[in-house]
Amino acid sequence: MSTTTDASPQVPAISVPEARSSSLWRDTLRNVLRQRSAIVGLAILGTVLLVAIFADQIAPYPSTLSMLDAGQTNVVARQAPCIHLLGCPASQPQHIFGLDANLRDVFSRVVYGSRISLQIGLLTVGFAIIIGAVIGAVAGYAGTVSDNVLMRLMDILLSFPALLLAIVIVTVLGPGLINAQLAIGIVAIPVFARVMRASVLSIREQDFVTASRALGESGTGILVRRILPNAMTPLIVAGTLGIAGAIIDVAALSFLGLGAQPPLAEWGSMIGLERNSVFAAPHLIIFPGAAIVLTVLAFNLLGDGLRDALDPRLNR
Amino acid sequence: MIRYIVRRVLVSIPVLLGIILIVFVLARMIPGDACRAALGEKANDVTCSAFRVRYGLDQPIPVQFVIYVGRLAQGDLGTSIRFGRPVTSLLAERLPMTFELAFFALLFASVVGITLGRISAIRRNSPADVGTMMVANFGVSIPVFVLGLLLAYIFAVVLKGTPFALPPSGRLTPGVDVKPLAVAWGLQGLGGPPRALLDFISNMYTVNALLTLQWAILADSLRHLILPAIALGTIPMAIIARMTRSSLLDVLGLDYIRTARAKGLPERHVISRHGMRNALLPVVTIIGLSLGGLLSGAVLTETIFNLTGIGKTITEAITGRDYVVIQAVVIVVAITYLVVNLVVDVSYAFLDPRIRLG
Amino acid sequence: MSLRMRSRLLALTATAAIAFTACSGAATTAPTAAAPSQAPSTAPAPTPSATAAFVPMTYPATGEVTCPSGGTAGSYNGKPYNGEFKSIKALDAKTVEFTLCNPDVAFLSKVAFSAFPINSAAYLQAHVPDGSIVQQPMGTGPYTLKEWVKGDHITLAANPNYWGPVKPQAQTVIVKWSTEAAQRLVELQSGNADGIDNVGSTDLNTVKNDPTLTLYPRTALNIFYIGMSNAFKPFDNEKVRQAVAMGIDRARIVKNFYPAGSEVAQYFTPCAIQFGCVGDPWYTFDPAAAKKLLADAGYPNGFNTTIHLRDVVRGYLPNPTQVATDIQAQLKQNLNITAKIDVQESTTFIDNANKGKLDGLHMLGWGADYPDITDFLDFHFGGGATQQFGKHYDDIVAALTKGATTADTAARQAAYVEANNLVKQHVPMLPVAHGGSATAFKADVTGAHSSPLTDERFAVMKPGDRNQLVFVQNGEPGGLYCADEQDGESLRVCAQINESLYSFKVGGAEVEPALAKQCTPNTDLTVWTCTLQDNVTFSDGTPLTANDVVMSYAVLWDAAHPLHKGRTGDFAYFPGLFAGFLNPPAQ
Repeated sequence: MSTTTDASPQVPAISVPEARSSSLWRDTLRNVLRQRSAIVGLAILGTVLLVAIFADQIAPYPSTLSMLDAGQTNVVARQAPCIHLLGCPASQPQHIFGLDANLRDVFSRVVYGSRISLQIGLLTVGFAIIIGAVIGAVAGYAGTVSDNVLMRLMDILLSFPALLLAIVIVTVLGPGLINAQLAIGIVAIPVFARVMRASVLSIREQDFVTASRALGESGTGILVRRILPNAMTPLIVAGTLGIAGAIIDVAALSFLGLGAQPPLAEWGSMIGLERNSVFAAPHLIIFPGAAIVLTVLAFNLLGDGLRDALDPRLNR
Repeated sequence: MIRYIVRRVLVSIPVLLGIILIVFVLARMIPGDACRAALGEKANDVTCSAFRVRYGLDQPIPVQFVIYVGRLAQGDLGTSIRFGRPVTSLLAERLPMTFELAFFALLFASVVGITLGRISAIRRNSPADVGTMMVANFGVSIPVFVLGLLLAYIFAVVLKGTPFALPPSGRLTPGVDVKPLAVAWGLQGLGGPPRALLDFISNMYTVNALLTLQWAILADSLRHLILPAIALGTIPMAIIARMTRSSLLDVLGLDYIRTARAKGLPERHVISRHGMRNALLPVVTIIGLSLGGLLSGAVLTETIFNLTGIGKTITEAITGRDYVVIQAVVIVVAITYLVVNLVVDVSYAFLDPRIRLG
Repeated sequence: MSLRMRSRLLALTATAAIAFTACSGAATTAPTAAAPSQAPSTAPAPTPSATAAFVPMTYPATGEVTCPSGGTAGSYNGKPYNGEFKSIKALDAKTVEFTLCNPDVAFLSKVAFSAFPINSAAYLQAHVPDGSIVQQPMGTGPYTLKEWVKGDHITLAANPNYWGPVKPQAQTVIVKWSTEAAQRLVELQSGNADGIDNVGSTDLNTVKNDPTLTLYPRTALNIFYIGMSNAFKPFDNEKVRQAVAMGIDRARIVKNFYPAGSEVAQYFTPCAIQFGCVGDPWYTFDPAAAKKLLADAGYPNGFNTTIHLRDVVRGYLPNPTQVATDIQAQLKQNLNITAKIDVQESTTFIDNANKGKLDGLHMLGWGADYPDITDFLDFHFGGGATQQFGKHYDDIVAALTKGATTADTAARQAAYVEANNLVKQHVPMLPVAHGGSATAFKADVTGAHSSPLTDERFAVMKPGDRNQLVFVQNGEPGGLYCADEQDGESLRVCAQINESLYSFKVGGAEVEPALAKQCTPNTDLTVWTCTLQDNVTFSDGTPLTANDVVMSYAVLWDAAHPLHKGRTGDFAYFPGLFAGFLNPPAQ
């Protein structure tokens, strides 16, 4: 007797908690924040991000301005840091990280370099993830023939030592930051392709995918709407770690003179130009070096933390 | 099992061909004149035309490729444009150095990395965990060229005269001569491949010294290897530490560990005997696969420490436009990778039935 | 070398000798002792029987060279000839006579250059055809090659039978190399090396302040310049070039990017070289006048251009990238010229420079090979110069030709005054700096020095009470056959093994007799007669005779000689210094 017009017995209102669509992300964030290493990583990264965003306010000088052109007269090339708080006489202009060989303020260059390094990391890995994910998805989903062909291509790329292949690519294309990023990006594609493919392979056999297929969803639809969101997490972990590697590899290329060209303030090229001053002017190596180490460390810690947080078996 | 191996080998062949093709094309695309790079900036056009004919550089590219592949099949890696000698002899001289360096770097990385990973896993999420992971990651975050210079400065200059002083470059103290295996064993008359093998082994000075009981030379060459091995080893160390940590964490969550603990076994025993042994399986495969990072790092390490190995050879070959050496080294390296990958996959399949039957 | 090989070689040598009609019998009957490959020769081989009559050699053996004169080419055997040599003749076992086509005031400086070593004629015949002379040189010098471990080091052993007054002080010399200045310093400071070349510009004070080390500054016999090719707009306009010449503060560059001992260049050639600094000095830095000149030329708002350079360290340019960045800043600030920096690979860069492909500005320099002005001005702005600065400036070429072909000092001076003034007017390049460099040695190495021609001599250096001297230079030699090398890294090493007729004073640039006791010219400096020292033997025991001298020069001079072979086959210094080859290859 299912009538809707009669007054039915009063059923107490049951409050059903809303299924929040972002609960996965919220849980993830909470898990991440429980990993101490990830917190450290996030903290460092946050600082670097703030420095990069507010570089214009933080840096006392433009990154390419030589003190010779700024009118400062009692300064020398490769001068050691002069910090007024720590006893440097007030008559000397303050340069807390010292001056480089072209009499440019090292602190300003390190600060502006944060923009370049973050951009390098994001662009390079972004490029590699997009292409790698497409390749991996197609390989995992579209059948054995394309799987074999694509994975063999990835194997070829993986057979070369990364830095060597990048050096050859940059030598062919010509030195420059964009070419260096392209080279490192190309070298990083197979990693993401493999990650994506593994995810796709493991997810496509699951019930909810079969259900979707039974319901008549198209292949690409399933790929994009069902499989991709679940494959994101290993991609994100790999991506975070990949950013760390990309920053270091582009720094290595710039160190070799193949990446950022003068007068760009990229940390790796700053070290490379002054690598023979390590004994007489160590501040020229220490500060950009520390900047690279901290930034890369931050991404590595964050990546590790993410992996721990997103691994279901570790959730206790 | 056999079928799996055969299948893997067959699949590697097109990969190998692809590698050769790509290397060949890339090497030819490097701008700059091989002749002037080899003979000097002021070599004139007449000399250079003769040079090009001698090295077959005047032929159209597809012809060059076919000739190259043909020679490769016979084991002929070509003649170096810069040195004017067969690349195989060049590699036989320099590859052992990189092997030695890579071996000791891996040794350092494994010992330190596994220890750090173990500590980190046992004390998950504690300050010790964060600390050890930071140390491990620090190694991979610091550019190897900076680390190498700093190490050389500290141990060679600052600690000079103390018993901790270490040499900053080279393989042996200048003036020290090594007696190669062939001479020490009286096999000078031997020729052909066995002799080549002996010479290859003798170029690994530590192995050579060990086999011929030249203890002073063994000590000297080990002392020269310490700093470069540490500098190079920091790269795979982080990966090994990370892998050990996650693998050990996985294993420690399994039921049989719970049983061992329930039985009342001491924790240390649980971890070492039951945990580590199974956790180390994926770690061992990672060690094999970190060859890539080692070779990339070797390029910079060999430059900083002035060691003449494959890394330095190929960087010089790239700047010197020595196509022949570039092709040969990259192909040899790629083949080594393929083989290592194959061995790792097969051994993993051997040890983990799920993979081979999947 | 097995017995069968040796007799086969002797047969070959004999056949070769018969082919060269005038070549002496002494050259072929002298026993070819074991070629010094890995071990230093211990006991001297038995001297050849003195009864074999010495048959003096003349080159060319047949035919006569017609000298070029007044602009028309000379000839030899139907081929054109434009060189300086007319004939080389052995008058007797100890005397050689060089007959030249024109007076050469710089003859002694040229023959002192290590690119003209005296080799044993027999050794040349044995080792040039297969190219082994490049890896295994043999000479009269204080050291012999013990071994060359490619990529690692070279070991030299003292020659026990060295003829010279100063015997080699160190029993063994080990030459290593490293491209990184910091690495070379670590080697020195850690005690692994006794001496290093090219101390990094940031390390000079470190060495000076270290009581266990001594710094030896090197006189700056080089030039760093900014070149402009007139083949590209807007540098085809002389006013633009002159504006750049006035608009760059060169003193600022030298003060900030060069080590102590460097100077601002007022002329192209360093003043230590005769006639280098005659004529008007360079423009003073005047940005206002420069800007006005640029506006007159039609560019009141500046223009866009490129600065090309190669990122290699040389004595004339220790900080290439930093200097390029500063020039970029100065161009913008003083002249409103926006310049992009283009770093090229070294050999590509030189190639592009020689082919005249570098548009805009390019940064390059030159180090002295021998101390004469022809090494500087003629090479760059003379008739035989490359396309580096675009189309040749004919008035400069004329002035230089005048200066190179007279012997009269006053006439030479006038010619070079004119040449320098024309260079200032036309501005093919603007000279910036003469870059100082230095070597550094452990304090207990007596006799250590630096040479302005990078021609350091290890024989006079005594490393304290040690037997072995370790020296670290910038790069590995390409080959050790001095005649076919151009790089200072090669020439330094091969000069320890092979000697020339004259040599430069240790650590200096004046010439003094070496293998020749004396070379005296006739009154118009066209015939030079050299008397060789007595009792000189090569390290394989064979005595030095005039025929060795004739042969050593003949194989360089005659491009058609079967022994005109080396590592590159270029022998570039011969035509560079002696104007041309006999039987030149068709261009």
